[in-house]
Amino acid sequence: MDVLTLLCVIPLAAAGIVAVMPATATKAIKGVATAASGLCLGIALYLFREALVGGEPALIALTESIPRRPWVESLGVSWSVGIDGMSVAMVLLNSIVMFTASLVSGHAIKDRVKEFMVLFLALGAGVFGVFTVKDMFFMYFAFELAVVPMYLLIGVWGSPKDREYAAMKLTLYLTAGALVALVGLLFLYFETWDYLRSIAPSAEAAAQVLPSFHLDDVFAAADSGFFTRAFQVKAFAFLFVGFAAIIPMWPLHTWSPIGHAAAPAAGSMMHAGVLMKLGSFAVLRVAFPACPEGAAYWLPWVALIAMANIVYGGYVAMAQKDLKYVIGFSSSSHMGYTLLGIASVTVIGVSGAVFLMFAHGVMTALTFGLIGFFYDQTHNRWIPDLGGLSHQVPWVATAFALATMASAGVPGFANFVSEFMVMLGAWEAGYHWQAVVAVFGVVITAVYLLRALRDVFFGPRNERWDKLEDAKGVYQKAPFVLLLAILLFFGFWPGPMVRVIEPGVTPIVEKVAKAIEKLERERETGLLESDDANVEARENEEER
Amino acid sequence: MTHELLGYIALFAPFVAACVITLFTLRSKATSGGIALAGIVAALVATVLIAVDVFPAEPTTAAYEIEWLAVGGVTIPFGIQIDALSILMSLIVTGVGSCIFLYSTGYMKGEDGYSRYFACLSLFAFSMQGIVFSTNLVQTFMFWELVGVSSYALIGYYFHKPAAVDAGKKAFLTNRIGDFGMTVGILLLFYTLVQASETISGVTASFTFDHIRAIYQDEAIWTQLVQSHETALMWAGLLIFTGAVAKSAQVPLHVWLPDAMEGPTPVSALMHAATMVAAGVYLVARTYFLFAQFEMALHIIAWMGGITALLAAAMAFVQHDIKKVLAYSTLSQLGYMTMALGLLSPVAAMFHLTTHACFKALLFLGSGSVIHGCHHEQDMRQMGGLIKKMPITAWTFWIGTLALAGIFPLAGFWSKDAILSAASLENTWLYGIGVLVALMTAAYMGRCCILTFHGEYRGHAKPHESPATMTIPLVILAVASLFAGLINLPKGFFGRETGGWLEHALVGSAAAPSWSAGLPVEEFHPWVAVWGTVAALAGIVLAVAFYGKRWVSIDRFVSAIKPLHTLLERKYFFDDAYLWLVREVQQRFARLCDFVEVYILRWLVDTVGALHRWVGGQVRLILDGHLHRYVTVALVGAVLILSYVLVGV
Repeated sequence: MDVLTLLCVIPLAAAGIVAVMPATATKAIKGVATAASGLCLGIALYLFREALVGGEPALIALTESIPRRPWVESLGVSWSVGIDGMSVAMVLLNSIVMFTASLVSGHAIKDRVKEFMVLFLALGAGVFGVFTVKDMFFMYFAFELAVVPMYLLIGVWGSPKDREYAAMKLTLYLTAGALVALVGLLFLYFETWDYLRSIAPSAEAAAQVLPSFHLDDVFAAADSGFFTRAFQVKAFAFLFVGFAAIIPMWPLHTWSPIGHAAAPAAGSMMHAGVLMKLGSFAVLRVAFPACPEGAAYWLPWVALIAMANIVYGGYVAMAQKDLKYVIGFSSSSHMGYTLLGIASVTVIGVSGAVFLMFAHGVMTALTFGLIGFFYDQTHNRWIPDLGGLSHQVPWVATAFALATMASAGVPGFANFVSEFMVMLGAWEAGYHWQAVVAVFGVVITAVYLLRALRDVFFGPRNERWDKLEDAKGVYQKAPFVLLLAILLFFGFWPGPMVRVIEPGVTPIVEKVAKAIEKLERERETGLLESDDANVEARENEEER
Repeated sequence: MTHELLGYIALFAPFVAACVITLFTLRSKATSGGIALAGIVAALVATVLIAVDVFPAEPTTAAYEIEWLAVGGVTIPFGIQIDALSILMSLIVTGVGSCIFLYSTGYMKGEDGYSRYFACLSLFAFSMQGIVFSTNLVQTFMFWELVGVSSYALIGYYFHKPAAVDAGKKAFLTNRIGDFGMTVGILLLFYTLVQASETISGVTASFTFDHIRAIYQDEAIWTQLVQSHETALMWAGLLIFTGAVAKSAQVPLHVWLPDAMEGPTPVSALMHAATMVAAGVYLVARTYFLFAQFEMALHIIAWMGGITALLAAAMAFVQHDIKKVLAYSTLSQLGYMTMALGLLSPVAAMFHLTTHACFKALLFLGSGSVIHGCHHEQDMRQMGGLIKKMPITAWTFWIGTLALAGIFPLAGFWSKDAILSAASLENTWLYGIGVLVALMTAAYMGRCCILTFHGEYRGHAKPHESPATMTIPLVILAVASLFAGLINLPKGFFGRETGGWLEHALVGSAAAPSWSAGLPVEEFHPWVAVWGTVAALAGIVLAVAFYGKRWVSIDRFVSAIKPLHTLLERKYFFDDAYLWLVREVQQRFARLCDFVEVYILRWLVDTVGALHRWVGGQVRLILDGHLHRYVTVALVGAVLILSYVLVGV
């Protein structure tokens, strides 16, 4: 079995093992889950090292060495995995968050440990699947594999007040988003089938051609110029809107903060840490290379909506009194930077966006892990009720303050570097005002984060919380220390991460950049107005 | 050892200290203090070792850079800039810093967060050194922000005090606004150069100071550049200057500095007097080429400085807290420096920065000694007559005061004279303001000294002199305040043929041609010196008249200028205006967004959900488990579909 398939199989196998273990053996169950996550982390580190030492050629060689394994041939479904630099970063992110979340839930989850861990591992496997498979069918399948466990994690282990509503909303939203994206995927599927038939040597052979869900075939069709602009504009819209609901893009974000808030600590960590990254990853992995002209057509609007994400998300966060909601809206605000970076279609901007997905994932996992740590004791996230907690939990307070600084884009943390790259990219792409708004977003972020920090942790001692226990011992501190160390490492030394991401992003960016050039050229020469007519003319010609 | 290596030691020694304290010695207070002190002293030693090489030699500048990040055709370097300007600044930071670290080991004794304090202080020293040695704009910006963060941590050191936490937050956010401008400025500058590089040969885009300076100073390139991109370049400079406005607390972004006095006093001395607030001045001096060509930019800078100097000096009169007096005084002196920058006298600005660092650190540490001796009393109305109880503190404080007031031949006299000389040549109005501020400075500092050290003791504590760890730094800094002026004796003073030593060292190096070409060598103007001294003496006489001998009743005087007094007490309503903005504009907008979120977006989504549930509920009425009803429905459906297929209806 190849190493990438292994990545998906290990958590699933661990889930299977846990499922047959006796429910009372909680320690062993947690051990299995942590060991499986640790194994995945090991594989991810190996891949990262490969990408760093061998560069993109090593990853291409690795991908090419893995054969397609046909599954349902008549439909063109096959199990096929492959990675580029971008997916390596995301795989690393997922394994880090999984590993630390399993450590955190090791002491946080006391109720139905077995079921929790089964679902948790399945969720992890689903996310690995989205990041590695090259078959659209399995991509969709893996995505659903990630979403459904999330529903149960929130619904069963979430905070009692709002878990049912939150779980329902999150799942419906994500499924609806996925369905819209599925329409786009099917567009690609059938158009690719047409393409495969069109390149068949003869009419009889064409009739024999089987369809394909494989991304390589889709990209081949796209690169050959078979997809007309009208088609791309349509397909990209479906793909993007579907994926954007997961990012989450304004105004499709309302599932996200409440989902963050209601989930248990490990759930929030996975949700904000990796689940939200699936959308932007899929945009880059599927929508960009498959529909570069569609992207060129829509991206200026995306850059505008990114502003809404940043500013609106920030100001809503400012008005929140529930700590998890503050962080939840903060996430949706930060995803505005990812969107802006993607919309910039520059190597530095898109690399920054991917880097930010990584950095934000780690940072937000840290934040939610810490919130979970004291929420499990206080059962209260209402900011006015809290206050002065650093008297009782100084260690957690310090770690939280550092996470806050990372989130606020303070240099020294990976988040700063990535956001700065996004700003550079946006400016380079000519989105000057959007870049200025993005820079101002950093001020907004600082306002609500420092306010939350003050109201929760600083101020006079509040006797009500005297019974709180601080993080003690290696076991409790380790996940937080690990996450912090990663943020600081890549903040001080971003080179390795960027060197891994950049070559993966570059070909994608080049494709779309070429499409943008073409579009601009046509706009200048006035060809675009008659674009529909052109398409019709071409189609007529083809028919003839 | 090479300069590069020494530079890295000077930069990273405090950082290593901060890391060691955080990771290993949080529990052991004495060790933490020792490690922090060792870190800053190591940095000082490294700086001195470079200084003995750099200063005697002919001025040069060298940037040792490595590639920190390269992506998408953009390279961000990281490195060490070695020239007279950076070494001078590093000497100030580590020299004054060492005194303050030593002083802190005494002052902070018995505090709970002793180790945390020294970790943050070391982190600050690292950040500050990062700005000093930075070779490029992005590196500067990163350390610029880090300085803000460590400042936040240190102002809010007493985290149980809401006022301290709020002050830290205010400092952080105000600086963030400045950083906002600075970031946009950096982006604008870089991409203007990118754009220009397409059409003008010889232009390459870069963040490195030396590269950009070379472009700006090449006449042939500059003429083309300024033709096509004048506005963008000027705005880039001014936006980068915004960062300096916030950090060096110029009006209107000055509001955080007085509040920052909530931090421990040594912190105020190090950051909010001697080094951090000077970073803005240093930045402008370092990037002087960005401004030197634009008359309008220079005017804006000069006037901003002049106005800050005047407004802040006036506010110092109405303060009762001894540290607040010094805080406003710092604002005012920073105004002087900024004014000098705008008057084409970066040397004078850096000179004043140097001397000011000595005597203002001295004054702050003196005030800390007073506060320590009076058992945490900061109100001058509860002091008086302390000269008998704490003579060392009192005498050194007086030296600092006279130096600040600009009395011949103390350090402040020379640097202030340099600024006033420049003003007298360039701009009469600003010269007038400068002399007026000199008078006011002497007057409010005289008031401060008289209220604290003379007359009868009015408090209830038992004041005592501070321990040696605190008085030794006072004496060192007092000596520096006496003699620091010697480093830049002006040309023409007693027939000197050349400019001062500092002038020689700086002009040749940091921004070589743009500093020297067209910049007047600072000369001694006897009348400027005379008027400056007269103003200072008059200020002290006024202070004695009002507060020492009480020839004039203060109460009657205050009631005579009631509106002005209110204006000063309310700090020109700046704080109220900002508070209004925060509460009424920002928070309202936040609530509006929240309203949209809850009552429009969420409502819409929930309505869609509810609609489905309603439809589901209706359908459930049909699907109630009665088989015959299912069969009926299925039949009707089949008939409809069949008729569609067959008839095509």
